[in-house]
Amino acid sequence: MKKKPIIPIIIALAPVIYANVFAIYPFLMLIYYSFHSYVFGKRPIFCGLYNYVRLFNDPVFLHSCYITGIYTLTTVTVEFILGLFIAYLLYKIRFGKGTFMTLILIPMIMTPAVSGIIWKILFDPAYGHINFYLSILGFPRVKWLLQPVLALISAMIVDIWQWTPFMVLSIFAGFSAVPKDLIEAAYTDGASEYAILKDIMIPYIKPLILIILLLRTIDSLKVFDTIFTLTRGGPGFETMVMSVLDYVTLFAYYDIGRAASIGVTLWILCFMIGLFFMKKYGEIIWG
Amino acid sequence: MVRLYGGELTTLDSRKVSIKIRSSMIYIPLVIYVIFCLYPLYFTINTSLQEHAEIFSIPPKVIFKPTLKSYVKVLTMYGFTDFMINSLVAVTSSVALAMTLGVPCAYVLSRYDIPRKRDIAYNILTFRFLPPIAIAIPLYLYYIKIKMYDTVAGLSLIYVVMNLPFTVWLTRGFFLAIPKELEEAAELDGCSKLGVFLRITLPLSLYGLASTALLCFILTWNEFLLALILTGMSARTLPVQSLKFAEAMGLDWGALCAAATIILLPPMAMGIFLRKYIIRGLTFGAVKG
Repeated sequence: MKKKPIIPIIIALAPVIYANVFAIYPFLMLIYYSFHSYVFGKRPIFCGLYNYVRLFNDPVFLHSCYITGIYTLTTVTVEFILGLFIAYLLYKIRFGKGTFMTLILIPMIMTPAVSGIIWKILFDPAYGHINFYLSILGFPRVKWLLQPVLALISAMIVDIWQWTPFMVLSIFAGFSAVPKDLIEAAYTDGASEYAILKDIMIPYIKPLILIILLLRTIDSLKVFDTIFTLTRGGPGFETMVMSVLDYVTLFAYYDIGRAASIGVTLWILCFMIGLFFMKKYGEIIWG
Repeated sequence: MVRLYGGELTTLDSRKVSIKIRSSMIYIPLVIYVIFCLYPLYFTINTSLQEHAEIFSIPPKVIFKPTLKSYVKVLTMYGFTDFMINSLVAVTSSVALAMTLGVPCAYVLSRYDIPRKRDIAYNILTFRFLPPIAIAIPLYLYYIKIKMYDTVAGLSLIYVVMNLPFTVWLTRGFFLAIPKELEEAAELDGCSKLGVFLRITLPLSLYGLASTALLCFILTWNEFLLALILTGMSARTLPVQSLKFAEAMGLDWGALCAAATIILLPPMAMGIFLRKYIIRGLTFGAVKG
């Protein structure tokens, strides 16, 4: 009988234990608080599902869910379509691929909180460069971050700016892995470029596309940095995505119980998509 | 005869030219997109080097005499260098600890046959999907209770959790790429298991390990939400400070942009070296960049 290797097991479990101790304790506390009426400085009082009942009847929270949903759906869709387009162009050009890729990478690795601040300056109604260029083109000046729908669109523009590069570079990497002879065979059979893209290249990288869409969806659901520095959820509640609402509930209303119940809801949402991701694509990334 | 020949030549020429034009047309949308990508960075650096009056000139100035006034102002401003040290300490210590825990684990996952090894890997991966706000709220209350609130150590300890999925999954990928035969040969020559790991595997995967550490460095350096909630005045990091600057300085865009440039410098410098590797890292190896 083979001896059970004990040291490797300990080594392998060390990070698991570390991460779980650090994350499970807060998570259990989060669930605990979410069942209590608990305001800063007072004792928590058990209140059952009251926080959740109140939450799902609260127009502010439901509006926040709606904003988060619209935000996620729009940004991920636009990023994907734009990313596919740019990646295809990048695949087609002959010179300067590397340079373009390096330049395209930059928005993605810029500190998101700093990006939010920079974009806020660019969106400035009086001195912002965006309004300046718009006025050159003959458009009226716009109060980007101060009008309800426009504020959300501005936040989406920043997200699209920040994360389309991820789509471009991933899809480009996928395109580069499509076997060349497959494409050349289609060429000699007289297939159009569009047909090659639609019927050969995209189907070939379908798993990759789904993986990056899922990862982006999860990250978009928990977006905080750029929106917080750009608008703080305003004007009113127009860009109040769930993470920002959660922050405000805790630090502006001091309502721990309610903040916890929002946290649990967001956690469950992200975790379910994450589980689906691992069930479906765990095999692929495991290798 | 001559005319026919000449005619053929022209159609051929014009076709060549049209192909050339068409293929260079592709560059137009690409260049427009790259300008969109880079404009905020260009604006930041540009503004950080301008005098206060020039920043608000219309049209925006492209050519001007650069000045370092804003940088001097930011660097001598109360606390900025302290916060920079906070950021550096929190980030490097958390990356170092995550690598210390994650790399041996990844090696075991790639080489040993231990029970439930996939569950271990997937469990660590779940931490990638955790919304940080859900961790930050209870941790904030707990840190206040145990007097860890507003300490660099407290921040660094939770950053380790953030870094672990990357260190474990990415280094595992690098270890898998090293042929097992090499290690077996060394073992036959009388090298111990630890010796094999230290003398063969580690040196061979050094580039990969360094890339993983740098990627974690960038991600942690850019982290904002946890730092915002878990630190006050003394353990504050640079991204949080940039927001406080923005709130306090109003229209002093020069100083704000100088601060932003300083914060962006490390991730930019590392990111450009890591270009090929970042996408692979962020997708846990699903995309081979």
